[in-house]
Amino acid sequence: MVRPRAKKRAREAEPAQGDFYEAEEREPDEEKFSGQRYDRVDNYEYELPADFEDEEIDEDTAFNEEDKKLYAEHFPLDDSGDEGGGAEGDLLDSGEDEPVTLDRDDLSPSEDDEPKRVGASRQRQAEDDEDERLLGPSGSDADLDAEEDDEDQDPEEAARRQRRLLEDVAARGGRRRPLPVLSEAAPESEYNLPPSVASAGNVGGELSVADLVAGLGPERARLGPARKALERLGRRAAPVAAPLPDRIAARKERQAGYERTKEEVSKWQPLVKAHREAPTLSFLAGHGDAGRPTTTAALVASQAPADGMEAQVAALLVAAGADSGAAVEKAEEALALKEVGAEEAARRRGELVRMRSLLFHQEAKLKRLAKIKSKDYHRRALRAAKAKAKKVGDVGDEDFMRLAAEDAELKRARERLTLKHRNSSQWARRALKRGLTVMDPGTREALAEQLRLGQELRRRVERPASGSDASTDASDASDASGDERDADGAKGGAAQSGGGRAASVRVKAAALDLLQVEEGDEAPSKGLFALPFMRRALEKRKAAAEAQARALLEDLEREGDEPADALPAAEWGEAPSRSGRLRFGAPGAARLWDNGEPAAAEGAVFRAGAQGVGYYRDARVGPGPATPEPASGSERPGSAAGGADDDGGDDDVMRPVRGVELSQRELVARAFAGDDVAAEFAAEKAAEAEAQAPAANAPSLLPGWGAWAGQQRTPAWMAAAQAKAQRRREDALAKRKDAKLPAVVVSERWDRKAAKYGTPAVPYPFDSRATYDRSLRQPLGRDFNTDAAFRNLTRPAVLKEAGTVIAPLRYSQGAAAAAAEAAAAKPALRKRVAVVSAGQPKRSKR
Amino acid sequence: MRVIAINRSEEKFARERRQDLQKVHKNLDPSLHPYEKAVEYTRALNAAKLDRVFAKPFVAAFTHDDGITCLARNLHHLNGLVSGCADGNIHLWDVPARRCLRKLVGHTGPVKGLAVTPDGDAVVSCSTDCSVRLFRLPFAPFAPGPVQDAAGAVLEFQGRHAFRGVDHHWTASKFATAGAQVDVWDHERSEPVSSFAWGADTVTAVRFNPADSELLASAASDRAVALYDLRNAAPVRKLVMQTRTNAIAWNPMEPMNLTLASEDCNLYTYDMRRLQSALCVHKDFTSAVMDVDYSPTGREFVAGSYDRSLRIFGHTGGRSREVYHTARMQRVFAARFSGDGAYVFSGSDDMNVRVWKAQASAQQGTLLPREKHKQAYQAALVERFRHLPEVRRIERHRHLPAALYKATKVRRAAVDADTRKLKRRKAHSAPGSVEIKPERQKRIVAELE
Repeated sequence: MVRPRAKKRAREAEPAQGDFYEAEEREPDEEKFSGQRYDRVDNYEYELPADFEDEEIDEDTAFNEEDKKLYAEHFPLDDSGDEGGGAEGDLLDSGEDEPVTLDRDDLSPSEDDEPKRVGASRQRQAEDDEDERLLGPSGSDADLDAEEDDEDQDPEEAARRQRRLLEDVAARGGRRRPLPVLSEAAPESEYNLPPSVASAGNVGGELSVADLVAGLGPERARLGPARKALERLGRRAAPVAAPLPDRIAARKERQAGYERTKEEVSKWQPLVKAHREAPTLSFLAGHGDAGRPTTTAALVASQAPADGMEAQVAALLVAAGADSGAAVEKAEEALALKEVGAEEAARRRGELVRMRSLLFHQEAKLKRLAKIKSKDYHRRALRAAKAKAKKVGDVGDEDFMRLAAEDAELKRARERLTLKHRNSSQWARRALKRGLTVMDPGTREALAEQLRLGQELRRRVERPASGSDASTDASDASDASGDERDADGAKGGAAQSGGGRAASVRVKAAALDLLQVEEGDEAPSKGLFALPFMRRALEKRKAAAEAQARALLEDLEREGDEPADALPAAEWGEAPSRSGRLRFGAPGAARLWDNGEPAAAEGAVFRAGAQGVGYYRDARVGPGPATPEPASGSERPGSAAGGADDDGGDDDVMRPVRGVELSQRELVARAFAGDDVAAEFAAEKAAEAEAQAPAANAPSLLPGWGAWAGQQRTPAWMAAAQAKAQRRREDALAKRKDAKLPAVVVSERWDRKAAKYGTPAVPYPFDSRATYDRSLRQPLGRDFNTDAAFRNLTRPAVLKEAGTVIAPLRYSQGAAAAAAEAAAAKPALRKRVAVVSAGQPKRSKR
Repeated sequence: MRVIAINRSEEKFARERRQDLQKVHKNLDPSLHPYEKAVEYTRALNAAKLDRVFAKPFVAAFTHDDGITCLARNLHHLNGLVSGCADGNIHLWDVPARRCLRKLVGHTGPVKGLAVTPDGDAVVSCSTDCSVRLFRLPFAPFAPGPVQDAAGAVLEFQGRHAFRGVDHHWTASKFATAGAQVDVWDHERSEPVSSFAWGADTVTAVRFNPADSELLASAASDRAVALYDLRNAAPVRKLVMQTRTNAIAWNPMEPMNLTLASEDCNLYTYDMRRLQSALCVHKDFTSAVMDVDYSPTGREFVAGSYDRSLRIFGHTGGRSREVYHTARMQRVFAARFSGDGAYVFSGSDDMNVRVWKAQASAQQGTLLPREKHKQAYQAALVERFRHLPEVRRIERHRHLPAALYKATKVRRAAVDADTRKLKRRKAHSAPGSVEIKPERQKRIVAELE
């Protein structure tokens, strides 16, 4: 640290006259001249000394070794000047390596040397450019570089190069261009600052502390510490900027003011937003402003004893037990009791106790009565419970399914045994005897209902692969050839035979029970049933039931003997019925329909027969396709059962077809078998569409028009027009709304009467037809809405009272915050009515 | 067997007094009220028709001795309406009693602006005679009959130039005048407290913001609207439009929004924070709009025009909802809303101040709650079925005088022609070379900082 300072001082002491290389510092110009007050004028012209006299010099001796050394700078590539230049370069380098800190003061003495240096370098640059122009880019420089190495080996070459150099110098000397000189009109002074001063930098043209100090000259060393302070001041204190022009300053002020005003105004934003979004803005001031009327009770409740006498009185009252109404009452009662005497009091108390207990009992009784429900109630409850259980059971409850199946099986067996619903009762027979034509609709309905009930009860439980079916099928198909059975069916039957067996056991028990009951029944000895014909009928019926029960039992026993794996698959179509009767289980019916031969359409008639009203096979027409062949190998078993069936007598002609189970779809299909509605509809639709489509009346060939006589072909233009018309028509048809809806016709006719109920386009605030329609959906009137809904729907957007001055909006921070908070809330929670009172939004209490 | 007899309890159905309404029990089961849409549509149609049948908006006319130049309403009392005349007189009207309470004299030139002080006790008037005068406003006496005393000014402020407009601060005892520049005066001082000048042209109108009273706007004959903030020493912003602005009104419920009545037949609502584009352009007039004033509810405003009509617009409505005119009404120079938003005043060149109902078919006087609900229901019905063609036709129909009707057609034709021409020019120019500006920015020339 000491050394540079010493050096600096030494430099300051002597004016650095020949300090030529200081300029190599490569300081930027603006910094270099920053300490100076005025710009310097660079004089690039070489000025001849005063005592100069020109002399004649021989061309060979004009540029000798010494000169070369002197102007080494100009010929950097010259070999002979290399050593000297290198030495100087080294000197320069060593000087640079020194950690010298230079400030402006240090540089100032050497400034006189600058121009020459700058001028020299510039000149050199110009010359180089010229060289390049003359010799080309691969001129002397490149050659010289290449031959530099083998210089000492070839003295001849060196001599040649020197000669060439000399020639070059000689050639150039003649046409040196003069550099431009700036001449000022007025002398340079503080009143005439050249433009370069302003452009020199931020400090150009300004007086600084450094100038002040520099003005002291050598005396400044004596300033001592004050100089340092001055320097610091010079560095720190920025000069006061000149004020901006008025216009610009005003604009800046306005901009700032606008920003502030905008901010000020923006604080109203949440309030304004809340008011705009509220469905109703209410200016009905003073509706809720009046305070609540104070009641006596409220006054008493809120009264607290003040200090002084009030407090004393209150304390006295508390001490006396008279501080509340209850306490006073109690005290009064005690007083009254005191008056009446002991036994009287006891009597009264007893009375009170009695009354209380009576009241209690009555209450209990009423409670119990209230719990008792009617029979109807219980029936409904039971039904509901059952429905619920069924609903629950439907969804895969195994136990429930099984129980339900058993129940149905039992019911079916009972029905088959008792034949309760076969229209064979007396009234039914009488009604049938009178004839269907004279039957009144109620009776007919009752008969049909009974028949339906009977059918339903006798119907198998519709489960194609269920155990019960498999078990009964077993009996049907037991004598059929076993090779028809397929593996799947056998497997299915085996799997479900367990459940079926349990059911059949129950059925068996029921049948036995029935038999026993019927056997134990004594014939009535008197009354209507004692009449001989009635008795006969009863016996007959009993016999029939018994026979059926026996048959059933037999069936069941046989089924029990069969091995489970021998059970066949349900083969409804092929297997002939044991009873010789047509059987229409669900799969059988399906098979029938698959053949496309509806049974009723073929050989059955609906009429009242021996077995009640129903479908009977018409023998005159001939056996239906599904009529089983009774003589297909097996004899008619169960003759008793057959007898029971055949008791109508006319069995040869007609046999009732029962148990036909058709789905709704099948019934409808049967009912409308003849008409092709779909085709009719399609034709109608096509006609409608054709009528509404644009007509394809393109110009066609009119004799004598648009074509030459005798022309055979249709002209091209006509064909094009026709094609175009056709295309337009097809497009219109394809664009119809119902084009892709085969079962719908959407009329596209303009309906004038309907038009007044609709808008031609979606009206402005709505974004879609659906939104608009939704806005119209809820009716507004009192006759469609409750009172509250009516008020909400019809409340005007602005509520105001004539005669009340409405003040402009006033700002309060709380209100703005509340509005912002409300805006953040869900739309459903926002208030329907924004109330503004005296310019301020009113906050609801809740 | 159970027999159920229809019976009514006496106390449920008997009225206590004869004036009481018969109780109607209704069943809201929708199956009992079919065709509700058709029913309500018919009701809406009838309501729209009734609305037109009862539309009789004209209430009263107050006659003066010369053309009306300006109006001011009392901020405190509903009955106080002050009108300024071209002959220099000012009239104070008791509107419900339809009588003149005072004739305030003193001005030697036409009165150009009026403003009532916030306490409602005084009115400030300015005139082209270079003076601003402050008059006391008396209360209306209870005794009926005409009272027409003349009264002089209490205070007089002298300026160096003619005044073209005045408006009073909404809370403080300050007022601003428009003339060569905008001056702000205090009641206590004879010289302006502060002056704002921006440009050299005459300022023709000045208006304080009712909500944020330190804000004011002015319109000048250099087609510029300038905004000032009294908290600043300088104006804050200037908007230059293609045509001159004749009047300014701030929305009292939305302090950032102001509406300009322009010479080009339109009104423009701006948000003062975004002057690059208007919020809404209100069209319908066929001549220059001379004055505009907001309803105190902030939901609508009234504007009077040189085409002899008065129109009421919704604050976001591009088209007017109502147009008022009479055979004898001339150029409308002043329009004001009443303090309760129920009436509208217009001052015109035919020396009359007219009082109109703000809702043309509104029933005057106290309404029973039933009547209120009925009217609300009818209004809601019309509002709901407004878009259906029949209702729309009836609801929108307004009779216009032949001159006005023709002028409307001519104007529409001109506008259409311009649009068509521009469209064609665009179609036949290089893409991007013809720029079609949106309607809300079309008339803006510059926003000066």
